[in-house]
Amino acid sequence: MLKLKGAVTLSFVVLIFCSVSIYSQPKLNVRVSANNMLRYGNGRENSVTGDLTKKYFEELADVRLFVNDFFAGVRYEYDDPIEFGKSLKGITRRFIEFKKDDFTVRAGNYYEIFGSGLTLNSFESRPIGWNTEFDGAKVNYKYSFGKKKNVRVEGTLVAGGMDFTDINDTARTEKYSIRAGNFSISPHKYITLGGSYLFTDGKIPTGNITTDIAAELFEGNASLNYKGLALLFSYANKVTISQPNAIFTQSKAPRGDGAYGSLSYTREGFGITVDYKNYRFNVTTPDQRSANDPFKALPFQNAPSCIKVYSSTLLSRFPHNVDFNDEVGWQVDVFYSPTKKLTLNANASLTSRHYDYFDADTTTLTRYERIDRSAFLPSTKNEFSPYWELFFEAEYYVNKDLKTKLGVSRKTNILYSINDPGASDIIRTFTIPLEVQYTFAKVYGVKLNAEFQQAYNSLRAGETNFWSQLTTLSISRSPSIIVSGTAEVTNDEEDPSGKKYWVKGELTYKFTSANTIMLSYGSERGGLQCSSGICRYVNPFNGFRLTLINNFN
Amino acid sequence: MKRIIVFTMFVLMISFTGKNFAQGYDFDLNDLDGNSVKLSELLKKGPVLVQFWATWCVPCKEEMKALNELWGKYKDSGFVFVAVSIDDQKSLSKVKPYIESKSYKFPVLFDTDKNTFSNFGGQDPPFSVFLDRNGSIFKTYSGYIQGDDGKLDSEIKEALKIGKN
Repeated sequence: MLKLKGAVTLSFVVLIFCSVSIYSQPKLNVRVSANNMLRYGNGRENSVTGDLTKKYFEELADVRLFVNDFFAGVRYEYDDPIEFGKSLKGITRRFIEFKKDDFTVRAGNYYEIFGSGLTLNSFESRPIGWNTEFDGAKVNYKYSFGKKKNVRVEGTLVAGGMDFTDINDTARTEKYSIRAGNFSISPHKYITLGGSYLFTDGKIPTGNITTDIAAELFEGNASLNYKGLALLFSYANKVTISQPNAIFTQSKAPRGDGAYGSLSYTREGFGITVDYKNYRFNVTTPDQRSANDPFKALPFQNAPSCIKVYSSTLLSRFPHNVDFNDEVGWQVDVFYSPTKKLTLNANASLTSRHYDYFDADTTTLTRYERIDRSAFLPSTKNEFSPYWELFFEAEYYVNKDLKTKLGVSRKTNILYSINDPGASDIIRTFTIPLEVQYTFAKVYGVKLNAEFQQAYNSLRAGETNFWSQLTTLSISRSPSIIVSGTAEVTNDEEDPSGKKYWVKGELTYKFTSANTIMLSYGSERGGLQCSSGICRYVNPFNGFRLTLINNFN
Repeated sequence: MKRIIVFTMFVLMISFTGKNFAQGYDFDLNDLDGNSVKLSELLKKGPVLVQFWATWCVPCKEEMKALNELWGKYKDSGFVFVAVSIDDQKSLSKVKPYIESKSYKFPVLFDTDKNTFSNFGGQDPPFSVFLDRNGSIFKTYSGYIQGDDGKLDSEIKEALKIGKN
């Protein structure tokens, strides 16, 4: 960590030297921009066991200063208390960046993606309390050469540290220190070849014991982009070496790997994408699977999930939690617009674990062994914890002012229990979302969203089949006001909130084009929320919320 | 709270110190065919409206439809419209199929790591920044409400007048 701090300090010194270039420039171009978000909530969190008072206050301000080739930024955070996740107060982000033509150097906080994210994809998602931001330094350089400058190379070097806290356990923090590089070359306009290397030291806590690890990741990728055809393939290999401790009495060095590929074809009015994933970063026996396992996929590895992302509420209600340690699957997505008024979207996906296991011990003990198979494709058998989905949607513009959208979705998600297959978590849903939108007198809009979902959940003690219905009606006046009301009803006797209906009213007022206040009062059903394949449970809430978003450019 | 007030005051005061283009604002992003596109190059053609969107964002797609019509109306007058996708790795492969299926012809760029988006202060899409010919930010838009295209139409006309010789 000391070396790392030295590197950050050195980077700052380099940037200060670079700043001399400012004086050689005839004109000082200065710009400041800022954005601010304030959130307040006061109400009760509902659960079957009881209601708890829930209050939160969060303030987040980002300020950026641009001076010629320099760019600096600061984030200030305050909470009293935070809605969920780890409380962060004070200056939580600061950086300075120098950018000259195709050269960029930054010292301080940063996010980064290498290739498809198999090696490195750090990001922030506040709704699920996820943040894999690094503190260190990053250098990027692009260069073009050749007769028509058609050969392009790009390289990125990063070094930094990260303290990672998951919303599921805010008292537990994993610490990482990374050094990594990424390089890509496009020898021709249509082809790009690239590679990445990452080394990290990590401290992974399990209870009171910390496991020291060192991990190395290599990644190679290739892409072809010719007219309507695009092909991408990435492969990464990871080795994690642990130091002996009370949990692992001997050093271990398991290997894992992951592959992702996509093929798409497009022509006017039509587009199809086929995605394939094969993530084996930590394929272990069922009794060894743990979020605290030191050999798991690292939190800053975040590969494509190959699962459709929805914006409507009920379609997002029972999401699949992607396991980057052990998952294989594919997805096909098609867009087709036979006329300018009509767009069709179809999606199919299938995902599962790689292997089934059996208990090979003949005594009362348990020793799982896997049943080998060609695990290149997912399986639909329950033993493989499959997830599959079919989705179809048609969007039709009756005229410029009237739009309708109707969809249908069928999903099955199985979390298999090897100890007691009868206790496996099986969820099946059939969902129909409908949207009708009408604009009148040029500035007024009415939008109706109605969703119906039939669900089956094997873990319900009583009735396993139930339905939910959600209706939202919004009325807006451009450019400043949206008023909406949402009502949701279910006949589920075992909803975690202990309720059967939820009603909420919302008011959004834009006092300028980039400054908005949102007020809501009522009850929300809660449930799993996902971002980039990572899902976290959000409690049901009943009360008042205020969000103020400002942007000063 | 005191610090926030001081911070905000600081921001507002300094916002008036300069209106010129700083290189830190510039971006260099790849388009759907892998070509590099720089904001500074686009600004040579005229005022540039940069819309940040994602394939999973419904209001973004509604706004994009409206902006496509406005682009068709004003592109010959120098109005430049670019749609910057902030789709991450999970939905990135669907960007080109979506755009082609809609037969959109404006430039579409990739900002996978969302660095450009956050440099402009974007928090959630749809988020758009309208820069005049001088590279100054003429307008910032957060969110999209049905019927916003009428206001955008008049603001494009206004932006086209700025800095015109």
